[in-house]
Amino acid sequence: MGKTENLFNRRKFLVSSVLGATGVVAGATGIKSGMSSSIMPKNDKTNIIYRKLGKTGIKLPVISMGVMRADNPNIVKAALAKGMVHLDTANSYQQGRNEEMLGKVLKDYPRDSYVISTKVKPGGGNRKTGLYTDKTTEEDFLKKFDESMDRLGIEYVDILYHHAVSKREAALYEPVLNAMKKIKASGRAKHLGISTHKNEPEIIQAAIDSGVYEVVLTAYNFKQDHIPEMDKMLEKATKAGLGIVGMKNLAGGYLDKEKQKPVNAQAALKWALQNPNVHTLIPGFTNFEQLDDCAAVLTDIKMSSDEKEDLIAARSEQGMYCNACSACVPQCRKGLPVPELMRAYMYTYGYRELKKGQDLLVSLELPGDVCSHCDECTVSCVKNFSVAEKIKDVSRLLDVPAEFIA
Amino acid sequence: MFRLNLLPDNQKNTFMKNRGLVKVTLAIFWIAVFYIHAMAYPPEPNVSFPEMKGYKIVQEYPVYVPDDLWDYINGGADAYLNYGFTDLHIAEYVKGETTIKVEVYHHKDNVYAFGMYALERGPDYHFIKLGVQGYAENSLVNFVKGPWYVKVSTYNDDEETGKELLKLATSMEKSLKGENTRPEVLSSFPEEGKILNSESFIASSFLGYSFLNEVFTVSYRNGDKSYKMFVLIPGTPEEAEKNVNDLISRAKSSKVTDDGSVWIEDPYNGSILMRRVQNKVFGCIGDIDIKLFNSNVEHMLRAIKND
Repeated sequence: MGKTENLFNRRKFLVSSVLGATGVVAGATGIKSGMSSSIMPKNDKTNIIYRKLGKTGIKLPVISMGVMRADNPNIVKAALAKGMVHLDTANSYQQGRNEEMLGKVLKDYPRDSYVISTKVKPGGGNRKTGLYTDKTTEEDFLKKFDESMDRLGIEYVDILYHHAVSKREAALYEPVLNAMKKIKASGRAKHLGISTHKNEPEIIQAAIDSGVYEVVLTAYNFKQDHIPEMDKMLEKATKAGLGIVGMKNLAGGYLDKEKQKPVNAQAALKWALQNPNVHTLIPGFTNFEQLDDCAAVLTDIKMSSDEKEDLIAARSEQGMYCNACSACVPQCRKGLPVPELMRAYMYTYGYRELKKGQDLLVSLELPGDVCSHCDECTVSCVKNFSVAEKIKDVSRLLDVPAEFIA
Repeated sequence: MFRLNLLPDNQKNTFMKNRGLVKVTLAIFWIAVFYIHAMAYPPEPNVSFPEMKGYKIVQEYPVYVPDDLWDYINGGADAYLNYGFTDLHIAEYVKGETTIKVEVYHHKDNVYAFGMYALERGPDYHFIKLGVQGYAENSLVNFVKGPWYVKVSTYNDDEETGKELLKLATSMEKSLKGENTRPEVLSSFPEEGKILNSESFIASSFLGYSFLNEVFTVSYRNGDKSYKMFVLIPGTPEEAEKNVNDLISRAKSSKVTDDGSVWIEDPYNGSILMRRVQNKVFGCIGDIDIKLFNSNVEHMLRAIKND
């Protein structure tokens, strides 16, 4: 095959102001490309809003970077160039590739120019109950932390989190606390923290009680069902000297399953920062447009009336998903497993996975004519789901012969 | 009594006015439900876990879906959602003190499953021929096959359990339906200079730009230099041209080379060389050699045409 047809529309090219003027074009011998951090587009950093991360004494811009999804080192460099300082990763993200990528990037930066946190999830836990078992050991935690440090290639992390904790017992699990204290004593972690996105108030209270944790990384967003409880607990934590880092602030980023209704990102971030007890946020941006959106909040956290209205409208969008808070379980007179029934409803109506819905219903061994014997439902769902109606609807699936669905 | 009514109560009264109409409507409803179900999940989404001698299979975990994957893998869920995750099936194989966990992540198709697998794959792993590709480390065996990304792991790191891990992974691979070949486009990249196991598929925001999606990449060595070739294949030449022009519009500078490629100085990613041919956009980043780039593009075009 000869020279390939080129269909570029040359008239549309924005011909170089630099290369074009100088006539510099790479020759066949090759030109080293790459991006020095010093020529990344920068923000005016003079107006960046900082908050102190509790008693750690670390002063952070109100927006940090959740690196979890990023696989492009240049996004991280761009975030640093825009004035973000704090980078958040975890031992498990991308099976360690995320920490490796960060490690390569950070080689080019002075150690005192950034603040880095990583998280270790102890092994041997029961992800279903959120509790640890005898397989959860100090050694395992230390081994995972060693892996993280090897990947990052740095001498210390600023914050080491006990990752994804949802039960008080787990937050205070001695082998994990012992491992973390040893790491801090060795100087390889300057501060210790705990991360949670389920039963957050319980975990924050445990963090206060522990006397070990100095930072809490918690889910906090405008769509949460327990905002007043969260606000009280965050105030309590701040008074106790804990630093608070917010995550999941965009509440999933979209209001619908089809991803046609994006959350107003700036509004959602600003909403979280209206709470002075939230010190920084870690949105997980993966492209430069999202970065610009987040970076705009570095210097401006005041919410416009449009942004407030956007969030009010967004909050009124009711999802199909039960967050399994289980507050309803003791309320049901018949002792029904309401969260599981809501999950069956989600499978059936949300994902049209009728087989999964039916399998789950069968496994629950429900009494006949579920909900038909109660005149009035005593369950009050925190998400305002019409629990009885949804249970009645989905339980009809039990009447359908399995062969119709399989 | 056999009832076939899944409609919410508030819609039921209207139907009850005419029983005949109800029957017809319900029949249509069920046909629609089955049709939608079939369309939404072309491959059979159910997973059957193979028996393993001496082990009891425990399935205590629910089937996770996009809305609740966070409950299982917390912040790691984001990447999976980006790669078309649809559902996760989990089983534990228990024998005495030994537990082997099998996690079967189902993605929307084989390309997206491969992309997620490649994202988590390390270059120094001990690769094995399992499914499309897999690797075995101390206490885990991961592999990808068709739309399935499978992780088999244990906390026991003794040699005996390691063997059983591999055995279980092998029979799991046999039990899953799906192609055992890499995404077709990746076969069009030239072999010469290719860095082993560097093939990847980036689902979205390649190079940090939201308009560069579904991009295949392979890394190369050229002497002591290295570079990455990439290709994206949008539906139409117009879309492909828009991709290139969108990138140019963000460039610090750009220039058409003598052979019709475009050299872009990107503010974030440095130099990028690109060429559009019909609905395909070929590109190169890293230590760019224009002659080598052209030769690679010609190779890829021939390979794609021969498919």
